[in-house]
Amino acid sequence: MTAPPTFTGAQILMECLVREGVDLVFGYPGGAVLPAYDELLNYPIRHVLVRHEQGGCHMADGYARATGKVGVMLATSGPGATNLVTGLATAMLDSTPLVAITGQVGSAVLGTDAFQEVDITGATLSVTKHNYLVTTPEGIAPALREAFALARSGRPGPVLVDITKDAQQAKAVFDWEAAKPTRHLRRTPPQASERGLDELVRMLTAAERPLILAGHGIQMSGARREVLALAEWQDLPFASTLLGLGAVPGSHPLSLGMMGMHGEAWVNQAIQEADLLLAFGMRFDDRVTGRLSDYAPKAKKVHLDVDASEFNKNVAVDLALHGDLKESLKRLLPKVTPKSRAAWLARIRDMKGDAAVRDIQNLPDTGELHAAHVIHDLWRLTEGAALVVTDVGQHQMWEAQYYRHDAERGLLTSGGLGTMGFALPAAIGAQVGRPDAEVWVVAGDGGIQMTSPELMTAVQEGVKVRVAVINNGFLGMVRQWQQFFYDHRYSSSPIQSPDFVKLAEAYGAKGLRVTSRAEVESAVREAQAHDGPVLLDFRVVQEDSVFPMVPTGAALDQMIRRPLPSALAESGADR
Amino acid sequence: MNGSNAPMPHLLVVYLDDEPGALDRVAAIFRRRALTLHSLTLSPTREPGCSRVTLEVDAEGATFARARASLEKLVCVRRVESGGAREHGPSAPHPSSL
Ligand SMILES: Cc1ncc(C[n+]2csc(CCOP(=O)(O)OP(=O)(O)O)c2C)c(N)n1
Repeated sequence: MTAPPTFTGAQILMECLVREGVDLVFGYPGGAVLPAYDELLNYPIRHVLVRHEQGGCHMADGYARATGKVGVMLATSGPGATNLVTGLATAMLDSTPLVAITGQVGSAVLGTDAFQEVDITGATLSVTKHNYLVTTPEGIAPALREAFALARSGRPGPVLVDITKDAQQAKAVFDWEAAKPTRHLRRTPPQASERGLDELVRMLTAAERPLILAGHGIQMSGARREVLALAEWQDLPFASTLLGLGAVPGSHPLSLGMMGMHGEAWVNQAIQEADLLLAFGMRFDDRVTGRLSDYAPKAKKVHLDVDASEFNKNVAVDLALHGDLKESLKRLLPKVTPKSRAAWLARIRDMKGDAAVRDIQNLPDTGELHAAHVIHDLWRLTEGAALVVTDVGQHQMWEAQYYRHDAERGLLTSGGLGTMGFALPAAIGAQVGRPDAEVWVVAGDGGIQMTSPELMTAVQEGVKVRVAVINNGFLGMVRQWQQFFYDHRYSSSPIQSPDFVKLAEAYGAKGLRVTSRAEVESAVREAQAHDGPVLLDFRVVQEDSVFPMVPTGAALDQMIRRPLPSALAESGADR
Repeated sequence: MNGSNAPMPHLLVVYLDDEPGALDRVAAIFRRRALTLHSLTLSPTREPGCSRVTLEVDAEGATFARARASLEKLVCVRRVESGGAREHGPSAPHPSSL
């Protein structure tokens, strides 16, 4: 009898990655992970060398969001590992399937403050779905298989596997079958109960002003068709969360657009007037509810989600249906009969009122460049089909308002954590994962400076991202809050930037500057035609504000509205 | 009623996998919500690879429910049993740990 073959831990790691279907990892090497890096050369796995581990984590995140596959990030111990924390938290709050693999100091010196030793499983405990400290080569396959299973299953999320250097170097028998995970099955969501579904049908029948709250979960569950079938059959208008944009098509006649702090006034008003809310794969975040005590006071609330801990977390619901959304809706649909709700839809149309008049799109062209113009033109010129990755701030909200997303996975943004610096690296990951997509970054002059070195990654890897910097000379969203709530005291919100055109050129990318609306189209066309990364520096009006706005602590329908054009003509500031 | 506004300690029994860090994960659920643990006992069970944590925590209704729901999400947790609210006083062993 021949002894079973033995592998080094690093080989086992690569064998597992390949078997998990991984052909791409983002990473940054260092001492504690060198055995894995050495072995990487022997396997058919592309490695994208990032410029900062946070950026790498966002790339893996963007890759996962754009493709639906698990993103993988590889980093060394200590500072390499701690640099992942923001990326993991970003993925955690938006439920992105991610596996981060870190090297760790030798098992013999764990806990001695050895060079580049950080207790990374301790540090990332609350920003991962689960994590592992692996100290033996035998432990690698079970941990890694379970990590992938957990990252993908139920409500997805990031998982970290920390592997000591000696575990990567020592040899062990590699037994893929024996490493088959089971614990992820403990959390397999049940089927929504038949009684619950019947109750939902009764509520739908009784409702006169029902509305769907469309969340990120629709896309994660693949329930778009079922949601649309229900909406169309029952004449149910739907409002989207930020991450729900594109999960259901924005140009659908029943689509209202985004809800919440910067949602359109009539959308929030419709929620406040509704008598039945159907929350699909969303979590009643404080940015969408406004003051909880006044939230949708007339509505019965039904919540369908894969994560039971979301039920009654922020908003008490009348009916909670735990289970995979697609499965639940598939079983619901045959029980539902068609219904028309013309009166309710007409009422919502009424609520729109003068909103269009206030819309910046409809203001006379003063020759000044507004961010809303840039976004609107970008939508038009990309025919709404680009994969847009936004950063965090005013531009993120304008993008959500003015770029209408019809396609799933057409908008990637850090919704839950609101991580500035997310967009550029996430877009690189998305573009690598979907080479045929037209990927655009929309970022502020503040956020882009947080991760701009990743432009070099794009150049080195030949990744063709287009970066639209909405350059207003301010940390705009901070400035807006200071204008509204801190008496115009702009404490540390003005920000200087490098010459972005020169910066792009220094990295070997193309750079273009745009200062008037007339130049937007040609610049976008030039960027589209260019075969490589491009950065467009849009010099927009500096003190623009995002409207409407529900101030923190106000009820959802207590919004600061867009000023009317007449008011705008008088005051220079509040455009 | 004990007359104070202090939340009543709730008793929880958590069955979890015997592995490094499992207790840490349980404790973190309460720490991140700024909840105080009043007692905590870790003991083996007859179930292979399973330990039992019996703990008392100061938390009122909704907070307690959220903490419990988060506990049930932990990968290393097999099940959670709730002992209900208890009056303040010397902690007594939970029936299931006897
Ligand atoms: C990492 C991080 N730090 C701080 C913040 C707080 N913050 C939210 S929006 C914002 C301003 C963003 O400015 P900019 O990138 O220029 O975009 P703009 O709002 O002007 O569109 C800041 C500082 C954040 N969200 N993320």
